[in-house]
Amino acid sequence: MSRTHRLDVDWARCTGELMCAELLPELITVDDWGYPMLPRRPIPDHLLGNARRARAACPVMALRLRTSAGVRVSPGPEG
Amino acid sequence: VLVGGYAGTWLPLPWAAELPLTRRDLHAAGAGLGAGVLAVLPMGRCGLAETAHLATWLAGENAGQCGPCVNGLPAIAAALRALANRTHDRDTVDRLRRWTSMVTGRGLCHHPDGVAGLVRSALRVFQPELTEHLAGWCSGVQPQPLLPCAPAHGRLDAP
Repeated sequence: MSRTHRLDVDWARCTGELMCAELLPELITVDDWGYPMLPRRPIPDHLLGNARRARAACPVMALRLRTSAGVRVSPGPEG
Repeated sequence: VLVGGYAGTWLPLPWAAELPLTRRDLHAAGAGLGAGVLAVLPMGRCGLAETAHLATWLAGENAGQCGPCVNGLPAIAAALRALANRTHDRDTVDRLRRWTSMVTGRGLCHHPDGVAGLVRSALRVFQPELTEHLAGWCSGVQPQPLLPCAPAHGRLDAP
C-alpha cells in the first residue's frame, strides 16, 4: 500500500512569507490575513515533488510533510 | 443560555431548559460543558452586544503565537462590535461567517476554535436580534455588558 502524504504548518513558526502558496498554488491558498490555508486531503502523487520543494523553500521551516500514519517525513535530497 | 463558559455555545433558553446536563446531551445539542460554566442572559439584554464584549476580551487573550488567531480574532471581534452597535456594513455578517470558519483548526491550540464557535452560535441563536440590528435598531435596554471579564493583560514581551 502506498503511503499518503499531508501538509501541515507549525503555526508558532509561520510568519506568512507565503513561499509555499507561491510554489504550490494547486493546494495552498491564502487567508484574509496573509497566512497559508492547507488542504486536509492527502497530496496527490503528481504534486508531491512540488510539496517537497515548497517545504524546502519555507524560510522559517514551518511547512511540514507527514505520512498517513502521522510520521514526519525527513527532508530527502530534494529538500 | 451560554453553555460551557466564554468559549462555549449559546443555546436558546426554552431548548436549554429541557436539556439534561450531560456531555452526551450537550454534544448532541452542538454544545459542550467546556469550562463548566453556565450563564443565563436576562431579558432586556442584547445577545449580540454581550457576545461582542466576550469576543473582544477573548481576542485580547490570544497567546500572540499563530497568525490566523492573532489577526483573525481581533477582526472577528471588531466585526461583531460593529454589528452590535449597528455601525456594520452590508458584508459584515458574511465576513463574520467566513472569518469564523477561516480561523477554526488553524493554530497550535483551540482558542480560536472556541471563539469561532461562540460567535457562530450567537449568530444562530440571536437571529431575531440580528434581524433587528440589520434593520438599524436593538431591543436591548441595558447597554452595559453583563458577563464579567478580567482587565486585559499586556502582551508578555521577551526579555
